[in-house]
Amino acid sequence: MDAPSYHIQSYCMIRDRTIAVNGTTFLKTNADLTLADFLKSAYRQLDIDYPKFHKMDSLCKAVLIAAELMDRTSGPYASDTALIFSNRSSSYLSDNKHATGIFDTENPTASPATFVYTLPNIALGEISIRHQLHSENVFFIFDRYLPEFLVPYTNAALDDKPIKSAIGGWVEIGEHTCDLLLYHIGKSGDIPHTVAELKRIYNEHE
Amino acid sequence: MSELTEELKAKIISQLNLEDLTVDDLDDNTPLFGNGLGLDSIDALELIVMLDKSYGIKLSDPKEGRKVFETVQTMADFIEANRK
Amino acid sequence: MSPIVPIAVTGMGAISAIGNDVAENFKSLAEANHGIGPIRQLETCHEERLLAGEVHMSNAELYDRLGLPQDIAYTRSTLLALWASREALEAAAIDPTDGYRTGLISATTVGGMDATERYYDDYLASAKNRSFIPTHPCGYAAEQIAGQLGIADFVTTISTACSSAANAIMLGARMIRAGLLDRAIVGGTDCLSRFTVNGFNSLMIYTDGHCRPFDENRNGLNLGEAAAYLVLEAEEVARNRAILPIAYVTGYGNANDAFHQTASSDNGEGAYLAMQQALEIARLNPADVDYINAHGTATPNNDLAEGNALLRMYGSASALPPFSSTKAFTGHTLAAAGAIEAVFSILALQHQVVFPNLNFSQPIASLNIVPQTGLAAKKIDHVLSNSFGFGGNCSTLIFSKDHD
Repeated sequence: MDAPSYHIQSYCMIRDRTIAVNGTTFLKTNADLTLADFLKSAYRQLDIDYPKFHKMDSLCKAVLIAAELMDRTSGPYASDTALIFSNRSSSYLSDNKHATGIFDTENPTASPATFVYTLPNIALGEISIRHQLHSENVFFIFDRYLPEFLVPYTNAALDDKPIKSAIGGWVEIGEHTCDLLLYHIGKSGDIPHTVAELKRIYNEHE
Repeated sequence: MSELTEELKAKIISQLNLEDLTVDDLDDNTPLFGNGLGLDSIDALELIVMLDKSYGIKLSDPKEGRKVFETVQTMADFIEANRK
Repeated sequence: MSPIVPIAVTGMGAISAIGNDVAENFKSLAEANHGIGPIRQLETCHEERLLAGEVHMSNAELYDRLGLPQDIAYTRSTLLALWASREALEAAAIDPTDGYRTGLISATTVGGMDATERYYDDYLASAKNRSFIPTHPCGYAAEQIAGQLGIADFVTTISTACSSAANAIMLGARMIRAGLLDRAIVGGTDCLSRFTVNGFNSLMIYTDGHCRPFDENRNGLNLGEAAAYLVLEAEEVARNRAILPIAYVTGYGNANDAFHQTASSDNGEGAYLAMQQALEIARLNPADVDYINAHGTATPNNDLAEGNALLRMYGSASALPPFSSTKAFTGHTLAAAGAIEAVFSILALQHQVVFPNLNFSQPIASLNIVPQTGLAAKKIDHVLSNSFGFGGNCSTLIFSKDHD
């Protein structure tokens, strides 16, 4: 088999209340901190001035934090860095918030700021805005993290065009839980971009 | 009047998730959009919802909002003139 | 770079507010019969004021005519998808057991939300509708459709707002080109829901009357519901099966606008990049495009941004090929839009006509571009179709009569 053409330049994992970059812990808080407070702590620790962060839902916040950390490690991102994301529950958190608002029998309210986030790919939009990426985006819905699909898909996308870098992974954020693994892929790097390596990384923190 | 502007500032901060601001940070005459606070079109829509829910005033044209939402003071003036 | 594999379209299926199959849709387009009217089937507090493009079949009718067992939960989006995908498979004479690697790539944003909003309150009180609980997530419909159609090699769902189906078509083409599949059923479905009607209304981009794409006085969209699917095959596979392609997917592009979650940049950067990429893949110049089926939602923002992107591409209004938005016929069908409009683009190729942009009277002052307002016969070799979604997700597809 040919040597892999692409490599993982950095990766960020957010599991419940721990954030790690390339296996090194960036932040670990108490397990009983709410998701909102956990993400806020991460934002403060990042020490960036980006007030738009506070308007985002938890899915977008988690994605933004991960993208920021990888940018510091293996960035800056090229403006045509492809975004290839996936999860299981789409934009469930915001969907639920919007539905609760409009179906309230006493005081039905449709909040535009909530509705804006009722799509999973808004997270791609948010990091595109933050890092000025004018690139190709896709968001898949799978039952579980599926490197068996994402690796050949990403490789084919990168082979096809002049773009040679991508950010991909799995971003399943629940009301209280985080199961996020994002990685920055490029031509060079320490870890080969293969199904076996990604499974190893994804499972090593179980 | 100043009670209304203080109330508005608190509502704006909470409704628009302006986490890093306190009521004291918001001046009555700071432009809310553009270079001032940097609010965007979605924030304007949220303020329209707030006008309706908190003060019973319906704005059906988002363009009308631009004049009304220039500053906290212009919002307070508009509410005083139109509240039910 | 991988060798160019011509991607043949060998079948298509569609259901929308203007027809229950491809032929009915074409007839409505040709006769300028739109499907926008008062909301009859969905119970919403906005039904008095807002118009939408509803499919003229109830869920009960769809169950009945699809021959589905009553005790299995199918949401409206899934029912529409089953209807349209069956037409596509029949048109392409597909036998899923013939040994060719076949995938299903379906797109949706509503998922099972229509059922959830109807039955949620009941779930704790009674067991009656609980079978709908698992239908809620976006990925469930594709699993059910694949099960019904007998597709097992590859199944996935794409959910990227209003560009979802275009991205599904793009993915299918890419997987065939990469040799991962021989064949792909690609498209999308979305039904009307209180969730989306209320949401778009809260953004104040839902017009009171009929939408007016590219008109100076446009003030918002009408929502619609639809499902549409294409059968894509490697040309060699179609030849082996002795099936004549009805069109080819020759170009595709996707780029992020990187401006705002729900508004497009004034100069339509994402749109411009997506169109440019699609033309590059197709190895065509802008002047080679004979008809543009625009995204044209009739929101003040989209049509201005898309119009600007078109002008950037063509240099002047007079250089633009005939273009139209068909959303005044069907409404904005969200995740199905890219697919239903792909069907319309292929119909344009088949019948050598450009479809009209309804409800237009005055061009956008700053652009001065005029869409095609009447049905027009024209020699058409290449059609470009745009679908732009929230999150800055801009996609463009190019369909051609033939390939290089």
